[in-house]
Amino acid sequence: MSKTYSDEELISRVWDVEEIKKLVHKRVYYIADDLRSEELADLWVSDPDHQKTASFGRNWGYYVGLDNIKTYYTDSHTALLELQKSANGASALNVGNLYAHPASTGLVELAGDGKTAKGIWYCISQETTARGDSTADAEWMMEKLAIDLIRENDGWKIWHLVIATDLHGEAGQDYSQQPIYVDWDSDAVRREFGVPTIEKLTHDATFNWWDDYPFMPKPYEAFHDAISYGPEGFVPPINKGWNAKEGRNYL
Amino acid sequence: MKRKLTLSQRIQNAAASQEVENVKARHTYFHGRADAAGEWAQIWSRSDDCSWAHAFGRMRGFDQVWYGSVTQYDKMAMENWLEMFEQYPEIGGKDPRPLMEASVHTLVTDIIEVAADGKSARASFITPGVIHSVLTPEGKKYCNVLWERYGSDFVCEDGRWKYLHEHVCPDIPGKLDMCNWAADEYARITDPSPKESMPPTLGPPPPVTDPGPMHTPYSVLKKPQNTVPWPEPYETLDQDHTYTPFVFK
Repeated sequence: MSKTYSDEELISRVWDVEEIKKLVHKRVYYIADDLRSEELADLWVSDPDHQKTASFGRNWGYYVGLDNIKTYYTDSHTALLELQKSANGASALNVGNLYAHPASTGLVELAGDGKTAKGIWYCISQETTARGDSTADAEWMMEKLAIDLIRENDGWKIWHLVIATDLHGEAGQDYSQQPIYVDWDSDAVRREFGVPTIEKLTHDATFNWWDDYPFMPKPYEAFHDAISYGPEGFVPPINKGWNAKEGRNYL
Repeated sequence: MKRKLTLSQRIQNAAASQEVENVKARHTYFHGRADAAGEWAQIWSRSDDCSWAHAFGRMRGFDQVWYGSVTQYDKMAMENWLEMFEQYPEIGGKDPRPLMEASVHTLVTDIIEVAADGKSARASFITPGVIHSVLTPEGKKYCNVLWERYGSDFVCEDGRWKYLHEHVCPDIPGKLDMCNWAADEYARITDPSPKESMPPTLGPPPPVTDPGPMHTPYSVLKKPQNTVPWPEPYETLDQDHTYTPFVFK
């Protein structure tokens, strides 16, 4: 976008992009400390209209509305942690767990009108969860992270978020020995996601990045649904090949 | 560089630094889809001065870079598709390029310097990358790791920042969690009949103007190679401030 800005406008835009990067990086620390409720309260939209349309997507669909996001992201998560604590006879939640989803390769596009922004990052992540026998399950997770941000009275906030997992597997194990096709019914990441508000396959890593989702943000003047990282912006990849099963059942 | 920039120049250069960061990240996401045509068509200068270098040497001029980085790359993707379609008919109708692999060179530790004249920028990065694919002719999925350094020059053309030079310096290639690059390299070179090491690039080397080797992966016999030192503040892109020495015709 070759729009011309005054120095004052330009430095405001530079500042906004740095604030957005900082917010996304802070989210990494919230995850590391397992502060999911605090993340939703501090980093996500607070305007009621924005909360209604907020979304949290993964490969299999979207939770829409901040209440539904909270049910999945904090309530279900805490329930799982309680089960783990009980099964492990642990003294507290999260004993033996560790989470790190560092965000790298940031690409942030601030809208020409300055009201919204879109960004994409890549995360070489790990999640470690304690087992009842005093061992732990250590997993690598490779994932794209895409976020729509919106400016509210007290600064930039997360509005729509998508985590598209490319692969996950046990640390120290040969990934090439995994079956080619992941059984989603038993896949831990799929099961953790539960039943979202809108169930829809958005990223099938069987075909690498063929489906191009979430897509790279392009320079834009003003936010509109077609470019959203919420469900409105998802367009199924075109696939009409013989015996292709529409890209393994794109809905 | 001794020139003191005005506040306005500093603001322009700060914005330029963010633009350059985005161009570099766009490279990663284009490359992750093996969309070489998209990358070179959209974010590269078409200048005769553009260059792309790897262990095998340096391609110079847009046509040579396009041939090596787009034409040859697409050829590998098409050949890969042809090897796979009978085993995996579900790839029918899909773009063969991203099916080859997701080569994700993540970017960290960037140092970006915009020239005092505002016409160019220079940047260094470290990339702890992952390269993965699910469907392969061998019937096995894979995830490799590849750590590299980048030295990148950019130019501003008609208000848009474009790539001019890229120098890729591979340090550690291997299978995720299944390699010890130091022990593996020691075992390789002490083998009475040493095998080839894991190649840091896909396919045969393309035609180059400046032959390699330019920066080779880790060896127990070598010092660290500071092939693309971080950029210092500079006035303008010239022979002393570039990742590709200019050739004057």
